[in-house]
Order: sequence, then C-alpha cells, then structure tokens
Amino acid sequence: MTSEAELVSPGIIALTWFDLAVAASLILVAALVSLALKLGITSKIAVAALRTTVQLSLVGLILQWVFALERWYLVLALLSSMIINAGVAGVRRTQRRYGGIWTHGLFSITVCGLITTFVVTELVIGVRPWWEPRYIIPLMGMVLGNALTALSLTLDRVTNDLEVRRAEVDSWLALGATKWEAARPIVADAIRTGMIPIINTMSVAGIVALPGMMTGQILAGQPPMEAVMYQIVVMFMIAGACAMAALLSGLLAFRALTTARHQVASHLLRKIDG
Amino acid sequence: MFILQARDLSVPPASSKAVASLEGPVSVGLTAGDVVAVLGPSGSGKTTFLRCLAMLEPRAQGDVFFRNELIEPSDTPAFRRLVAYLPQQPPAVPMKVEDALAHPFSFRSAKGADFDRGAAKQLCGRLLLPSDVMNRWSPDLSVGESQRIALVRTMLTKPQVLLLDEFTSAMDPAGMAEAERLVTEWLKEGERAAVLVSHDSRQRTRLANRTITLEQVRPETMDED
Repeated sequence: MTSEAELVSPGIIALTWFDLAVAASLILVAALVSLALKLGITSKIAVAALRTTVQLSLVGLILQWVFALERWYLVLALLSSMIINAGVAGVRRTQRRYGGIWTHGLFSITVCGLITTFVVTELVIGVRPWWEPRYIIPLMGMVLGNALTALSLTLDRVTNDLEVRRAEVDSWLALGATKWEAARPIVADAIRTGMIPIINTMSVAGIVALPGMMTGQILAGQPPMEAVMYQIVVMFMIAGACAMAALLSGLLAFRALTTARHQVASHLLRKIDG
Repeated sequence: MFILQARDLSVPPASSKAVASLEGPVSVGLTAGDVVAVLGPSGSGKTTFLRCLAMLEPRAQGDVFFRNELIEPSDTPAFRRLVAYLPQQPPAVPMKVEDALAHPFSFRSAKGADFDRGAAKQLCGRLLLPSDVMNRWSPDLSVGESQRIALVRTMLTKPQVLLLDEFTSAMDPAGMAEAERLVTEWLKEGERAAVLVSHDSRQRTRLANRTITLEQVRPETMDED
C-alpha cells in the first residue's frame, strides 16, 4: 500500500477544503451579479454550484473506492452505468421521439464507446490489465461525453427534418426514388450536424484553450509534449466515436422512420414539450 | 383491363390532427383514356386519396393494383415512376432547376434512362416558362413556376398514370391552358389515365370524363381542423 504522501505526485500542490472555500467566493460573485441585476437565476446558480460539488465528490469517492479495490467487475459495472447514462442523456436532449429511439441511442453509444475505447486502451496505449481504472474510466468518460452530443444532435436533426422536410422527401419518392435516394440528403445533413462540434474542437485545440485532459496532465507535472501526444490520441478517439455515434444513430432513425414500401413514417414521431 | 385500380382505400383517423386520414373505403378503377375527377368537401381527404394511390401513405389500408397486379414493396419506386403523383405545392429543393429536373434520372428506377436536356427545355418553353429558367435556383421560383417545373419533371419520366393535385392552381390562364393541353396530348399517346383533384369546376369539365365523390369526414374529426 502506498502511504498518504505518495498518493500525490511530486510536482502537484494538493488542495485542502479551505482552498475550495476560497474558490467558492468566485461563485458568490456570480450569485451577487444575479441578485444585483435581478437576473432571477440566483437560486439556479446556487443549485448548480451545489450539484457540481455533490456530484463530483460522489464520483471522487466512487473512483477512489474502485481504484483501491482493483476488481475488474467493479470497473465493468462503472463503465456500464456510464454508458447507460450517456445513452439516456443523449436521447433526452431530442425534441422528437419514436418507439425504439431509446434502444437506438443506447445501442449507438455502446458500440462507439466500446470500439473506440478498446482501440485506444488496447492497441494504442496498451493498458495492463485491460481494466486498469486509472486509464479506462476517464478515457471512456471523454468518449461518452462527446459521443452523446453527436448522438443527440444527429437524432434531433434527422427526426426534425423527416417531419419538417417531409414534402421534399415525398416529392422524390413520387418520382421513383427509393427511400434512401429520397432521404439521403437529410440523413447526411444530420450526421454532419452531429460531427460539427468535435471538428470545431479539433480545429481550435490549443489556439483558444488547452484541452482539459492536457491541462490536467500538465498540472500533474507531466512534460507538455507527452501531454500533447496523449491529447492528440484522445482527440482522434473522440472524433472516431462521434462519427460512429452520428452514423449509427442517423441510420437507425432513418430505418425506423421509413417503411419497406419506401414511405416516410413521420406519424411515428411524437414532439416532446419543453 | 384497369391500368390502375384501388380497392377499399382508407386511412384511419389518427390522434394527431397533423396526420392525414381518409374516411373511405374508396374504390376506383381507371381504364385507358379515363380522367377521374375527385369531388368532396374540404377536409374529406382528396389529397390523401391521391397519395394513397401513389402508395405514399404509410397508414393506408386497402389494395392498389397496377395492370391487375399487386405491387411488391420493393417494386414501389418503379410503380411510382409509372403512376406519378404531382403535389399541389411542389416543395422547394435546394438545387438548380436543371439539376432538379435531371435528378430523377439518377434514381435506380430510371433503369439507365438519361436526362434529355433538349426535351426539358422544349417542355419549359411550351409551358411559357422564361428561357433562362433551367439556370435559376429552385427556391427562387414562384409557386406557379414551380408547379410548371414539377409538371415538366414528371412528364420527362414518362408516366402512364398522372395523379394531379390542383396542378394548375397557381398558374395564370395562359399557363393553365398550356398545361391542360400538355396533359390532353399525353393522354392520347398510349394507354394512359389520370386522377384529378381540382377546385375549378370548368377544369374538371374540360379534362375529366367521370367523377367520384369522397364522403364528408366524421364530425369529431372535423372538430380537430
């Protein structure tokens, strides 16, 4: 077992709860601005700050527990719950839903999360054992966080367009198009939409801000070039995951909302209020 | 023999008022030379009926036969090329008019047929469209112009049955006369038939040789309108 002092790398300054209290003064500024200008979001700021603290603390506790116990099945359980949460969160952001959209969201997230994380931890980094939580949990977390955005943007766009642009699709169908020939522009638009955030992120990486993981590694005392190499791998991993999530969810939604007789079944969509 | 026949078509009412319904059951048979005008009050499902004939309504019940044969799902695109539905308001597609006219020839159901630019230009001229229309951006067309372009586009794919939904409603009298003449000549070119929805009783008299009437929709469905 490592002693208390060795848990922290030599270069890093550990924070105390007192330090967190000092940082909390910054959130007080936000709250005071809201009060002074009557923005009406004071309570929201308080709740959000509290949620951040509680949620991250809980995750910290769970991670410390999982790291300490070193059991592959605990890691697997944690990964599974992350995947399910990501799938649900991705679908929850859509405005139109159909029967099966939850299954499709979950399936897309699972496939892209497992494949990209496997490629990076097994083939690129070579993590041993394969379930070493220090690597696999944060890496898959980054994949899922970005893939769920790609998923929700794609699903939202494809379901919206199959309803709003239905006349366009129907007009091509009426001229003898197959359902894929008629709806391909809409599915392609949706997949493109899902991939835009990660393309933007990759384009400005390092110019506008240092990516979070690289920042963390540098703060933890790693040489910047090593942190950069890790960050590049992570960017590619996320881009691959977003592409897969967008493609899978776009195609699954297309399949669910068209019929074997080459019709648009947009009546299966329900609009969600709010 | 019927070129196109529909048996007991209907679309059950849906919970959402945005979804089309057709009281039915409606049956109709078209023989060569037939032009059937569809009558019925507003909201009785005239457009839905035409869409059912083109098999565009996923919730439709009943059967559609083309030359006495049921259409396999996978043959639907080829069927729709022969039984062509023209919507009242052709949607603006984000492409140049010429590309929009040529696009149906990129479909698998075109079976290798090529877009005939000369024929397209000639048809545009016949329908009194400006000579530069093929180079215009589709969304910039007026409704009357896009109705005429839609007619040209459908005619170029050589259909055998036309399902015309207020196909001249936004055209000026000269354009309408040319469009009607085009359809009348097309009817004589072979075993052809058409179904016509038109609010213009004189147009129905000019084009149609018989009528069918759709029933008034149920009162509770009316309330949702």
